[in-house]
Amino acid sequence: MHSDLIVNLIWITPFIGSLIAALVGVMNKRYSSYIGVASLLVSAILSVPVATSYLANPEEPIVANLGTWFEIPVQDGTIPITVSSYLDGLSTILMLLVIWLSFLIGVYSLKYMENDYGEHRYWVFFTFFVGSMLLIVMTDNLFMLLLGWEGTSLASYALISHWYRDDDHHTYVGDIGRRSLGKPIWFTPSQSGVRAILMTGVADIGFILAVGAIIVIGGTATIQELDKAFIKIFDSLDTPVFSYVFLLLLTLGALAKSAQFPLHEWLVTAMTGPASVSALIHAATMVKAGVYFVLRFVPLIYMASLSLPASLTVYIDLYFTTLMILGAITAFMLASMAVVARELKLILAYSTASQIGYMFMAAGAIGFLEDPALGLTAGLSHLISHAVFKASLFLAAGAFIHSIGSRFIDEMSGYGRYLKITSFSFVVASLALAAVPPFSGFWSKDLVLEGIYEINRPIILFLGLAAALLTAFYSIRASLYIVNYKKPPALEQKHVHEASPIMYLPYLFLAIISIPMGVLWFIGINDFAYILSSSMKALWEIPKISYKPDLAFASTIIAILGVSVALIVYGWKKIDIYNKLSASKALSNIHKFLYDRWFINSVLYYIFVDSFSYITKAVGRYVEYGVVDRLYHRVIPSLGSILSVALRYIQVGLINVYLISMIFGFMILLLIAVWW
Amino acid sequence: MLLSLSLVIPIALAFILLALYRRVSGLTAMLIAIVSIGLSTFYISALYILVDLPYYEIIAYFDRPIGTFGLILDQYNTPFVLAIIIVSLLVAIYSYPYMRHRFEELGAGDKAGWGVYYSNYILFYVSMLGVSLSTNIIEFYIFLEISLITSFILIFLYGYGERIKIGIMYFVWTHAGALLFLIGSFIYGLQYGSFDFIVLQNTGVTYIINPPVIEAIGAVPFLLILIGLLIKLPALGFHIWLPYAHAEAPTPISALLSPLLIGLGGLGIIRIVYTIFQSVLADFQMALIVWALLTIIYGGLLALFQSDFKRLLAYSSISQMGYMLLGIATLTPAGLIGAIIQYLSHAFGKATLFMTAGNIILGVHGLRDIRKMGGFASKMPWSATSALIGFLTLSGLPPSVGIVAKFLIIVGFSQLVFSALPFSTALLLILAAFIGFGLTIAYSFITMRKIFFGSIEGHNKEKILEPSPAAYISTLIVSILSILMLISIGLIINAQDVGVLLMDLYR
Repeated sequence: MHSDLIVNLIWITPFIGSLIAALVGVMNKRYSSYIGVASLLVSAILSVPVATSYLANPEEPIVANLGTWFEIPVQDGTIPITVSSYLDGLSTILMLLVIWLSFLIGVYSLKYMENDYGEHRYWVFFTFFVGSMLLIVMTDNLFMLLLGWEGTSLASYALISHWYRDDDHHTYVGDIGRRSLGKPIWFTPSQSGVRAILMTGVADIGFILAVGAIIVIGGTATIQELDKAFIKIFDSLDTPVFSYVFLLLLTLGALAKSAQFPLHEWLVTAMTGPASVSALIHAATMVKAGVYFVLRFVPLIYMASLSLPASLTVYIDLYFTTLMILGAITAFMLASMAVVARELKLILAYSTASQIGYMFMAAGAIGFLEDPALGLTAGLSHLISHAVFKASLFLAAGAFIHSIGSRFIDEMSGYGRYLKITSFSFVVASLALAAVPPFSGFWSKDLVLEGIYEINRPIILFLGLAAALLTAFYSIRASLYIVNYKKPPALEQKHVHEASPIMYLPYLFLAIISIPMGVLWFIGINDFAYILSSSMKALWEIPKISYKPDLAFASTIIAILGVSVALIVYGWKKIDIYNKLSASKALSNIHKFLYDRWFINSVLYYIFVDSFSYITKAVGRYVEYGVVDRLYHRVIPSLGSILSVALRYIQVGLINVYLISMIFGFMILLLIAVWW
Repeated sequence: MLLSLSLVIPIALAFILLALYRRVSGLTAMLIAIVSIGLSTFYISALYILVDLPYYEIIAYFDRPIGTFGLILDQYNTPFVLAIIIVSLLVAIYSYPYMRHRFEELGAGDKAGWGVYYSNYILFYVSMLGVSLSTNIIEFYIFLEISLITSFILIFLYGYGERIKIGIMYFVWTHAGALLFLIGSFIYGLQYGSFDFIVLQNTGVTYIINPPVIEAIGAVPFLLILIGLLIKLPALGFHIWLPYAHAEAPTPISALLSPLLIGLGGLGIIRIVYTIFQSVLADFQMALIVWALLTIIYGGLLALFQSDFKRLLAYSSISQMGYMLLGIATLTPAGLIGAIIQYLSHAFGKATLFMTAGNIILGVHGLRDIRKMGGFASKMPWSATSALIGFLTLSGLPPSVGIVAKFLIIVGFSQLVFSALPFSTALLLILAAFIGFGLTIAYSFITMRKIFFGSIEGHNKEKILEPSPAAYISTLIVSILSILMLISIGLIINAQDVGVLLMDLYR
């Protein structure tokens, strides 16, 4: 049962909720929170019948068109921008995931954000965020996609800098006062917000440029027709290498949004927002937008590449390889940072970027796999399992930080015993993150690695496996710090209490379902792949996915290895890491390298921020005020005044001067007349 | 008839106000201004709803070579008209609390010059409306001239700092531009035998595109007219008058000068250069593209450099006008419509921001130095909201109409870059676009943070307050209109037949 309006209402409702929350919040900010959650619930309920009606017949995508919004003029006619939804396997599954996760996070926020000074603002942007994300996954029009895309940028900016007053150091990220290579490596909420919108906003320019080319050269704004549009664009480009640049520009926005190296820096400082916002950004919205983008676009690029000459496909293959390499680097690099991080939410942030790296590896593999649908299935599987356990982890982390009053795991030691339910959820979700079988994280990560294994890319596979080892280690390390390290000082116990049920039910639920999800994955992966691929039959046959025992065995060993090392170091032996570190110079240098995020933050500051602030000052002082202003307002006027003074010397009233000039003038005129 | 009325009635009311001089109270003067702008709003919206566009109306015939003075409402100028009407109406309300404060500062009494202020204000408004409706170069020039004189008087009488010197500087600069424009127009018009750029023929409204005389007269009139209009716009190199004038004008007037007046230079380019001189323009296309990108970048860099809020906004206007020029210079239908929507979006965004700057001047004792600001969002939440929407509009992010403008301009730019240019040139232009558009986002959100976020330090917290409701509510309405414009953009953009204007180029 569905009509066009109901399908579209799924993404429109949160926007309406945002508007109403903005209005009623003026009267009483508490109303805005009820309105916000209610709108998410309405939209979540609407999504169920729509999704069931699609799943009943997955070979027929649902197209729901509300009409043309406006038209873009091109040389021969116009290209309509339609308000419409297109639900195939990929978008239906993501729609369900986004709205239900957001709803659960919303329920948690009801309690978590109660009586916050920005509660009103929080709900306006929270619902706006969900609406934008739903628009991204549901629309089939490039401009609408862009609208949702930039909408998530705005909402993340507003929510990351939610505590804009910068007056509470609990909301900061990084060790206050710490510098790396001379640049501060700690950030306040308002700084992090600017970092987020600048980094994603600038990268989006590439995306908009490429979308512009698709519309005006490819002649369509509809996502389903993109493969033909790509062929037209590759034809019109000057040289084959330009097509590689074009594809990179197209994906740049997604790389920034999903925090892939070297554009990951904004995400790791985005921890300054409320924990629920982090959960939203990392699990349901924002970073998953970039993954959705590559999962949606890469198959279409692949399809276009099938009918291109070899001179071009070389560059398109290079593009797929680039995606895989960036994903692998991110997966490994960010996992290595998480190993030494002290802040609970920061560990989780590193881990998000690292896990998203796997999804990019899967997306890149689509271009090479014999059965490309495997790449798509693997990428989406990992997206889903990651979204569920990461939401749980962040929400639980929010409860810990709020209750214990510190954001550092070494200051949380042992407090877990006062938050038993929260600790339980955190540990279960950590096991899923650590990819211990049979939790959901294991199956989906293994599927990605299988894809890489199949196309025989040893370095990428190695980086993926190494990242898996590190992941297992750091996720257990974080849990152990909280639940069992040493007994906390008795004095502060009275402040520490279990979270209220409104808060813990969502994350407990999300943690627990990662076990049945894992089992279901193993059994039902082929049904999943069928749903996902049946609406893309033009592109490929329905894949047959089977787990390869050798690789599954290897990743099990790796997960167990990582977990046991962490158990030994932090659980059993209880080694005092910091003393060991300071004892050895080499170790403490490595620690510093990892702790300061491979110095990437500082390097980016030196390259971009410093250079621009230097150029700005130079242009301002020397060009604008030194040359332009001086030329127009000093030199030209003073030339005028010199001329005026000079002329005055002649006009002094002496008859003989006038006479002489008259005679000279007469002679000159005479000469001209003669020579003419 | 209706278009003429929408100009004549405000003019009549303005002269009545001027005659009243000091005998009129501020509130009455404001009401008269609202009535006059409101009446023309009413007439034009009635037209827009009832009549098919383009709608053409003749006000005067003249012998050749002057031609016909007409008024037109078509798909190219409706966004301009819309922006001028709405922003002027709301700034008229905003003017009242602001100018009351300004008159006190200037030491004038209670009834100090309300008649003079509002009569000039109305005339300024009418002249901008006239510029955007006109169909003849001479008519265009006359209206432009009235707008320059009235705005000069307003800066000269009520401005800040060295207002007399700056007023004269503004007057000289803009007249240098106007003079070049006039000379170029004379060369063209006397040769061609008419100054009309839109004529009414039996077949309907006709745009004069590439008249045969253009090849005979060469590029000189083109360059004179273009440079005249680029001084108005202003493009890089001719921009130096703008920061002085727009920063030191009384803030309500800044909120008209910057959002509304300068963009009319762009309208002039669209109306005159883009059509009549299209073939010559195509020869200079690359130069204009580069010039536009440099203007965007330069304006952005200088905006980052400024510590005076109003000067920052003035430099940001230069950068935004670079967007408009870029859209025009792509010589594509999407770029053209993008430039037109850019005017609309910049009008709302920049008016909001200048009004916010005014709110801070009113609320925090004339404070304009960004280095002394910080954390104002807790004390001035409404102004902070407006400012955020204003900055979103400038940087082309939803939910503001700015995203449509930026998107359409980039669509036009992409057509050029990805289909017509060699790889290396294209890469350089793409890089420049990244820097230019990126700088806009940078100065917007860095400034937002400096002014409104962080903690309030070095201020007496009790003394920071939202100014009177008339000021902050009108600011908020302008900013919200930028969101409404996005939702109703389908009614504003009429994309049909835009390609026809460029037929000659692609033949």
